[in-house]
Amino acid sequence: MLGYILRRVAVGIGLVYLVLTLIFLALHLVPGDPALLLLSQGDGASATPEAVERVREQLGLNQPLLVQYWDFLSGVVTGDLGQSFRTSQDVAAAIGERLPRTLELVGLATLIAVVLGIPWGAWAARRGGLVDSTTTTLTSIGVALPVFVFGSVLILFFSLKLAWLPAGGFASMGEDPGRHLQLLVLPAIALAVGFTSVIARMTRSAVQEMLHADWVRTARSLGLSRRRVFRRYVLRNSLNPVVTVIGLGVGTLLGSTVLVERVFNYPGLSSLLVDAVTARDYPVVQGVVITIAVLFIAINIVVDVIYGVLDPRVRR
Amino acid sequence: MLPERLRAAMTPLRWVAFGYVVAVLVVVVAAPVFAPHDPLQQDVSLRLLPPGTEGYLLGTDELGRDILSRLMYGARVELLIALGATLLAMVLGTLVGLAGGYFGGLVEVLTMRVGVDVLLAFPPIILALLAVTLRGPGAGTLIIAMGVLFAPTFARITYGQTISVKRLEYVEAATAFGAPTTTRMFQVVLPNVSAPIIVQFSLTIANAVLLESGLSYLGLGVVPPTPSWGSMVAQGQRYLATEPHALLVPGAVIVLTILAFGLLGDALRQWLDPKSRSAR
Repeated sequence: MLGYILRRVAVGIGLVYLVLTLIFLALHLVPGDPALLLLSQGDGASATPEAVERVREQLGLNQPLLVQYWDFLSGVVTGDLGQSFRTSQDVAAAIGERLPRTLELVGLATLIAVVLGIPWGAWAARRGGLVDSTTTTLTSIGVALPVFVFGSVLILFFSLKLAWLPAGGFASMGEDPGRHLQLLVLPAIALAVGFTSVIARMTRSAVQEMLHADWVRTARSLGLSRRRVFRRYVLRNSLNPVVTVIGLGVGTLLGSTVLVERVFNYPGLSSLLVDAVTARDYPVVQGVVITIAVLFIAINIVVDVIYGVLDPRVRR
Repeated sequence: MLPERLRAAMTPLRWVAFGYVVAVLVVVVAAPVFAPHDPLQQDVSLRLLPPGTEGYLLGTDELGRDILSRLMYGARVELLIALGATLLAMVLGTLVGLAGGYFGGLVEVLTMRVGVDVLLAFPPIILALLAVTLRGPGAGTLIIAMGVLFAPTFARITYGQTISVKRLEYVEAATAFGAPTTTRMFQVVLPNVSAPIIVQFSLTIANAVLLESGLSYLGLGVVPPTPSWGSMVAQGQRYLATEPHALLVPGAVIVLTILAFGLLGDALRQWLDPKSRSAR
């Protein structure tokens, strides 16, 4: 088991290295001078030579490429992601301040999706009939709903019409825990709806396939109750593909949260990222992109380890 | 009339989806003919009219622009980007997957392990935002960025299919007849792996519409004042309390479009690729 985990972590580190290389190359492979490119605002007005020089200096573009590459890699490894062009704030510090809020939202959405999605999918597969076909329809709609549209509809009904929950904003856990949780509910639901659908679909098809397996018939003929066969054998065997989908889905959530945070005016990574993209504040964008990619890779390592626990065959 | 398998695949709901997609494509081609108003024409005296108003079927936005006309012109931008990106993704991904699967060895490591796995390590919208930072917003940036982003899915599908096909007798026969490598790849293997690629095409359009509308919701898609569905939702959000139609109408069009392409993908799968499992 330990060997399996170490192997998986080593592959993950290799992937992080490749991801960093891709991000580094992205700046240099785009045709044109990166400094000029970042300063152009699309209106054709050219930047002053001093400004261009300043950007070059800040990004280290005057150095030979290999030196830049080395500086970039060693910077990331030591947690130095550079300074914002606009505010000169340390990028790592800015991310550190907002990341926990985004993770809290993504974590809550994942929890909702797993707690609802797995029983829902299993129920649909076991009941069949109308429950099953309704599930298929609802989950198709669920995956097609853009989070920013669904989030706005939630605000319309639960904040504006019914006034049950606030429409958006943020309160820190320390100052006002009640409001903090209230403000998390709608964004987490908006984020969870697509993910719940994906998990329910995958659980449904996996359980359905298992229910028709020969060993289920054997277990039934040995006198085990339907309930016992399902609880002890079917569900556990169905969970492997579901765990894979959960791992991939959390990555999607890390992307969708950018939109959801915008809808609900939630000060997580999103506002940092979106404002930086709008202002073409490259160091901040780069820092956030690296953070999210590394998180995604780490989550998938965890998922693979869980997978190994659930199914000893993959631990070869 | 229709082949039997196709008829079986087309449930009534999928026919509706097919009709919707055809209607959208007609509107895309002939938006100026159908649009009742100029999508950019502002008239503050007509601002935020509710749907059903005489001459403004779906109402107007906060600048008095006709929502129906804006949706029609927005469809052009949306579909141009979605189709362009999906085509690019299909070509790139199929070539990469075909090469990786056919040659194996180092080519496989470089394409499937390094190329595809690295791209899949990012949530798509995040990598798209990186591209927008570097190149600035606009249709060209979006097509290229999304084309690269969606290529890995095509590559994985093509790769898996190619691996299972390349050892079959008819490929061996082509080799024995002395067909050159390119002929074997493109004329023998490719036609036999194309069904799931076509299915993925329709599903990728749905994903591209989802991603593009998200980016333009953030104000980072196409440059205003060009109408786009996502930015219409963002504008409508400001008047959600009083005039929810300005958000609900474009939002519904986005959802319907994504659903329709998804349903068409399901139909295509059942028709062309019945062996694969239906779970997405």
